[in-house]
Amino acid sequence: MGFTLKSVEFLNGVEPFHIDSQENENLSKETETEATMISADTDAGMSLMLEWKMRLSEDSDMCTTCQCPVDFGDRAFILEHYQSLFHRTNTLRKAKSLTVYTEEDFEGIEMNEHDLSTSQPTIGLESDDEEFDELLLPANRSFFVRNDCVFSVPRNILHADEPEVSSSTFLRPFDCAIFLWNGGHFAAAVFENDKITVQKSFHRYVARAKQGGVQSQHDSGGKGAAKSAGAQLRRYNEQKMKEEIQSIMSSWKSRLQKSPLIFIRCAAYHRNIFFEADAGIEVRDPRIRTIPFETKRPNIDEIQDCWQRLQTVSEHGTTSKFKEEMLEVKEKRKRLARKVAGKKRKDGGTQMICEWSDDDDQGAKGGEEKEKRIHHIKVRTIRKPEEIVNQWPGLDDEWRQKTYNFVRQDNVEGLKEHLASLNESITPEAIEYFKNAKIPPNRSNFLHVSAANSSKKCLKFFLDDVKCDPGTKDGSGLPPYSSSASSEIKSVFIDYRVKNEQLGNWGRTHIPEPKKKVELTEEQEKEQADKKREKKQRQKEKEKLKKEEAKRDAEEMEERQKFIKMTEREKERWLLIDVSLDFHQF
Amino acid sequence: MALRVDYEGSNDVGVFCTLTNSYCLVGVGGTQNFYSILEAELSELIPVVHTSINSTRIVGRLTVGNRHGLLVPNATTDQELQHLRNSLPDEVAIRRIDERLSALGNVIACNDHVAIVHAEISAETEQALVEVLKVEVFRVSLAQNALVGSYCALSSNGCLVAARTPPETQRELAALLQIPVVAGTVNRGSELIGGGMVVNDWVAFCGLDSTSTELSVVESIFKLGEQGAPTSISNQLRDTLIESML
Repeated sequence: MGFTLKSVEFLNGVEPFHIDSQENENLSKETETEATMISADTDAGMSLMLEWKMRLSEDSDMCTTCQCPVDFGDRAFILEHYQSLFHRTNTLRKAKSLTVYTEEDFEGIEMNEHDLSTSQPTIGLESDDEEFDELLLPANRSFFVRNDCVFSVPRNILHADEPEVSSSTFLRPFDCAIFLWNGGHFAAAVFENDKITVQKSFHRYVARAKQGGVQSQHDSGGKGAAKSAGAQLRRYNEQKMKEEIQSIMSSWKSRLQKSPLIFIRCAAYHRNIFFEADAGIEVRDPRIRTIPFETKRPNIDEIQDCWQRLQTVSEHGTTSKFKEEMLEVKEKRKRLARKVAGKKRKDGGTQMICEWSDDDDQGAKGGEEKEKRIHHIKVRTIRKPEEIVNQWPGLDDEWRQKTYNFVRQDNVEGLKEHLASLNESITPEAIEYFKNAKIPPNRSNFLHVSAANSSKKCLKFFLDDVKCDPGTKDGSGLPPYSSSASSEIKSVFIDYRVKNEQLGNWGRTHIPEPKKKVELTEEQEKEQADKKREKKQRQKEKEKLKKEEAKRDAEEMEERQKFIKMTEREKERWLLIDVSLDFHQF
Repeated sequence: MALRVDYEGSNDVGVFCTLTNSYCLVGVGGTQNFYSILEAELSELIPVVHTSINSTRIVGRLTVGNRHGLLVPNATTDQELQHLRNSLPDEVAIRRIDERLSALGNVIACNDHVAIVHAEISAETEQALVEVLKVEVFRVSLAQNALVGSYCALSSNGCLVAARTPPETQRELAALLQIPVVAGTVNRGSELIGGGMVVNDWVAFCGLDSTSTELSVVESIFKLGEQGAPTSISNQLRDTLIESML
């Protein structure tokens, strides 16, 4: 047998369901004991604490946001504090009226949350995981415990000032107003003291038969208002219907104002009518609820049915079992999320593709390993964003920046000098850097950069002297050839291919084959020449035809002009001649 | 010197005007009155520019600037930007910034050296403040008021904050800005200081409703009166006293 709000079982002993109520209790107990321990400390400790507090109040130099002492005499310290992530986080939290972190709290949190400084939300698995730390209770239901059994009611039936189910939820009558409106059918009722006090239902012809949709929807669609008699009728009915509903609502005003819950089921484009009516319902009224299940054709029976169904309480078994179940669901969701994230990475092809392409490059020389590797990729679906490891410790940032600038400016001489300026021992490292550097934002290497910036000389240098691999792919999975800025750059790549055809596997570099001049046999040549000649001749003929036609047209025009210019008498005579000629023919 | 002015009947002169040490922006309006008063007061020293921002006249709330530069919201049209560029001195840098909180005047308050900003200002805007206005940036809120630009006015000499700002916050602000901070009102009790007045290092304009008490607070905190400061009065008195005794 199903439970409802009216079930006697719930009249007492109902507690809101908390995920870790027990753990919480333990915690609070612990802190309590701790507190007592501190307070029961020696007198010396007490006096120290007091002294410290005194000093604090004496010179109350503190950041009012973070509630932490700041030495206002020290400008450097002020700057440091107010620029710190800690302060920024706290100002943000304060602005959102959340509790601010203490310094100790924050240090713990900082580890988990990356990149608060960039205010963009980080889309990562880590943040997902954090969310999953709690049990995934469906948000639309409110859970409660009675006798170690978990039950739930739709959250919609709780009053606006009521965050969770309490025993008072079951004690009061389930009073509400229910409005159902679909197409031309409208039904509404107000429940007071578990009884319908007023009700109304009616039907009007507004929906377009066999086509669906009410008339106004059709009119506002692309084709403009329909003009048929039926359309007029429906339009009129719709207008009337709206007026009727509003008048009903305003006549119920006093009841609606008292009603703690208002359930409305209607199309989004109709919703406004409820607010426009003079019934004391505002747009963002906290009493307004949707009905969390499907409803049938609006009529009074359906309203009764809804009212009953809203009151049903579902049972979820014992607390421990329920928790287990929810954990399972959570795990499932987590797995799904991972899968989706993995897929996204595959499709989006940012981080993951780079990783693979790196493997690809090494493997291109290997050959046989390919299958194994593919398998390996399939297994590895998630990857945390890799930490930036300084692979070339010998090269400082300044050197790298300069290198980049030389490449952008296409200054090969400068670049070479720049390279030569390094210690001999570091030079191989630098070459390695040229080959493998992944330059943000798109993880492109120097070939990409020089191709995109039309640094022709640098490109040649990187290809011929440094022997960079033109198959390296950037963040979006493209080889350098594809980021070429002009056909000139492309031709550099093609020349490179011509020179190094033997290196093999040009497919992955996207560099096309150079255009070959096809050698023709004599016969073929002759054939082609014939074809050409024929074509020419055909064209000539066409032109001739055209000319003739034009000539004929011109003649005709001339004659016509002549006729127009003739005097009346001449025209008559001319026509007579024509007629007589015709006559003679008979 | 603090003057009472009104902008087409409105006391909120800070809404329609941006005043700095090297230029003054005034929203284009129907009447010339406000403009003429400012012009009479300022034109010998700095340019007074009639402009609109995003075709609105609330230039004071949409822009923020100081001696070094001017930041305008992203909605500013190219034409307006060109007009500003032509009218402002060459050494004033102008930058159009893409900030979600586009009423820059409401979320940023600055003088020539420091700026206090709303907590949710983007990092790019903060960077622009440092580069264009050459200021140190502090993210704070004035107790319950997050809109720092609306609830405070500051110059190089002092800072006036909303009356209900708690003393700790005032103390903190004074330390951050390195200028004296005082709580007060303008326009007969309005807490919207930034909206109700504009100030630079030598002149302030308050709404027409400002009481003389409010004006005297403004004059003393921003050090505007030539002879207004108590010390100078006593000095003068002493001079005349001594003169009469001789």
